[in-house]
Amino acid sequence: MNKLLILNLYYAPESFGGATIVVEQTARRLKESHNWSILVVTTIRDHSLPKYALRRYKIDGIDIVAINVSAELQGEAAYRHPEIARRVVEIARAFQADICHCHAIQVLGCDYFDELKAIGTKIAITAHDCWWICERQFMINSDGFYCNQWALNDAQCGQCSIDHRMQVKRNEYLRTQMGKADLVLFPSNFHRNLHLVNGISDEKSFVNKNGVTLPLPNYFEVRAEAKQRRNHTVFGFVGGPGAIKGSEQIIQAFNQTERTDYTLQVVDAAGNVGSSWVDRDYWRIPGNVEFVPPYRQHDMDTFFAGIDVLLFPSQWKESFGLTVREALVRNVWVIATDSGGVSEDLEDGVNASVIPFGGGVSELRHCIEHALDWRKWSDYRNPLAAEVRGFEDQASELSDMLCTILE
Amino acid sequence: MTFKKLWQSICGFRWRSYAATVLASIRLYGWRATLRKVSFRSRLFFKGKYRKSTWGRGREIFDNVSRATDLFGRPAILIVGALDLPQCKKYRVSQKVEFFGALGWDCYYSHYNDAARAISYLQISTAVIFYRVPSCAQFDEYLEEAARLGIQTFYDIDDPIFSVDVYAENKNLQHLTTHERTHLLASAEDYHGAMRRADSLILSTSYLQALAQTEFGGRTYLWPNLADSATLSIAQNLDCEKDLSDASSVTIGYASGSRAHDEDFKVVVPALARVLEMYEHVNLQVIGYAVMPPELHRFSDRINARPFSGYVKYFEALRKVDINIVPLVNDRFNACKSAIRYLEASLCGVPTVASSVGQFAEIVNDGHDGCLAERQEEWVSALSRMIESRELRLQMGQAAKSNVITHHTVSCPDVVDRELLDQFALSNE
Repeated sequence: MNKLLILNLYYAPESFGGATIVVEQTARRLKESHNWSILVVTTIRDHSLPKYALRRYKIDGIDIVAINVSAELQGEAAYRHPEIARRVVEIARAFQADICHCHAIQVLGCDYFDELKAIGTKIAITAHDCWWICERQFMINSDGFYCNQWALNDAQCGQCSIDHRMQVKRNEYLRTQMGKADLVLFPSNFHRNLHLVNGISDEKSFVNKNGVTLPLPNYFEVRAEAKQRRNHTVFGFVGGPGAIKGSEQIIQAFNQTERTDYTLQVVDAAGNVGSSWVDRDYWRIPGNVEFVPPYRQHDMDTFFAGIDVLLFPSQWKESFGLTVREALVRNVWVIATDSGGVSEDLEDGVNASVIPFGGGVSELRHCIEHALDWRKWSDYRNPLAAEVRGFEDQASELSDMLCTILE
Repeated sequence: MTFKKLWQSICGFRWRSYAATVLASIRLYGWRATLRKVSFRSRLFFKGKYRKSTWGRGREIFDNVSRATDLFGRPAILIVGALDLPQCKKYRVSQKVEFFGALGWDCYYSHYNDAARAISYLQISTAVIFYRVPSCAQFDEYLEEAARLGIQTFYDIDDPIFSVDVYAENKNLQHLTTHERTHLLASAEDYHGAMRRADSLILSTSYLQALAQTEFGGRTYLWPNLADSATLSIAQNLDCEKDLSDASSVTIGYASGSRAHDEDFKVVVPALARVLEMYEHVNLQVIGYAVMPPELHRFSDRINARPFSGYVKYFEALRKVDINIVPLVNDRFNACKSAIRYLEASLCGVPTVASSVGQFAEIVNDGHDGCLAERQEEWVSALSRMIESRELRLQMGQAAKSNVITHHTVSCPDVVDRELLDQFALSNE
């Protein structure tokens, strides 16, 4: 049985972000269906523990060792931290990991690659965001907008950095470290290409397209019943407030249209991490607004059965876009911007309305009005639903890819 | 803070553990530092701000863990111990690190006061050995955490410090101050309490093992003090140096690492006085602590004393003597002693005359690779034979060296109880 050490900043019970969902879901399947022995290294924030203390526990059959990072790590410490690196190496050594698979490793850093290689552990990386090439992680500039660079320019990046020279040093270091990996994976073609133009070697880079939780067999009946109970179009939005996910564009678009025959369901996803996005003053639009509690992997069918259209006017170029795929595979129409990895499963006019990236509010308003006019949501089936794959398929492909570096 | 809350805190407070922690702190850091720490914590407590580390316990996510051996696949041993004394650390901690390392097992260690390090290593270990850890608040924490992780616990000890009776019998204690003596005897209860709670015990000598077996029952294992590769390296380096010994004189060496051996030294004083009188070319070299009794005052110009100044210097001094003596009072305390001073002298090729007590009686082949003595005549006879024959000294020194290298180094086969190793391999059953 091969041993896989998985590193991710968050893990259950602190499941936060799309990368964490992918890590949790694939880890479980690699163990159950592909005979990998799994140990996850993650972080916890517990002020009753000493700094960098370890805690071992187990959730859903997966063993986890958490490193306590009570303080926010700044500057160089955020990507190369000797204390954390030492612990990662010790855990890998005790576990005798064949492969160390690094997912979202901000805070955990990557200062342990050389030592792991010295003890014979192979390194695999999945880049879920732009952390490896952008100090700000999502290519959102200091004005709060997507910087929309392709080949990143040091001078331009330097203007968004607290310390220009440190930023250059950081990016050089991370590029070197990424070069040491035996396998580098990306969730979409777009994200892979972005990294290739920024100096990542294409020989070891592959796309391991993300899966999603597939609908339960009775989903389509549940959806049909839910549809019968409502007589107007329901929009859903999962991104929360903030410029990047496009909430402001949504509010402006609804305020610009004269229509009020709809409901907008806003998912309070912050509820998953003990906070809340429920704010009626912010979501002030003429139509009906409902706040719904965050869904989890096992109960997302209920949310998607209750909406007709998913709004995803992202203002940055996503590496993948899990929510969009979760909707597509459940026959939910999507209104989305042409934002990086999101677009790869969207066909304008077939399963989605695609707005050009950086387009104005009027395009979004136009798509919303078009959706309100159409009204035939009960008959809609996404003809390209099969393009979206489940976590089983992703894990199976991932397992094969990991095996190749062990040969 | 309300009166009710204060009262609840007082009732629920573990005074015994706290007292043990305070005592340990006084021992390690002194009165002033301890007073500062106590007053700081008390202030926080009365302001209601003192929050004891919970190590996340009470959070149900931590209740579920895998068996460490299932997860890690090979033994990884953590030693949590009192690492303050270099000699104790060397013989009971570093030697285990070397031994386990040679087996391809991971071995970590931590001072018992360094809870962050100790508990972190517990998470990736399959067994834990406590070495000389008194019963205290941290020890409770470690046991609870080991229980949560399902890890087997071992307690390693190399002194009968857990037995007030045996300790009190030791006449050397009379040379300590009343305060030191009282403290030592009082701490016996702390060690006894800690040992009682471990799953198995590891002892350094067979007599100590028998004593622990009677006292605690349960599983006990023997892990002797040995010559490790660091010691062998020091001895080897000295071998390369030029021999400067003066063939016209003979030096008897007596080494003592603490003031707690004055009564032991007295065992050999009459014999020494006789020998020094009989042979004018014989000198006495004291390494470390020793109070010269009046009987030897008249030989003061032939007695040289040097303080203990580190392990390497100790070896340098040891190598310059011709005969090593290890006098010991024959009591139950000393019966628990290991033959470290024989091992060390032998590696320098120096023959030893030792009291026939404890492990010395087990590993010294009398007349072949050393001499054993009980009565004064035996001491005088053994010393005389060696003083008179340089050839005998060299021959016995070489035989002693060969005995140690063949049977008593960390890398020798079967030096550690096979059953104990099986226990580690099967840990957290």
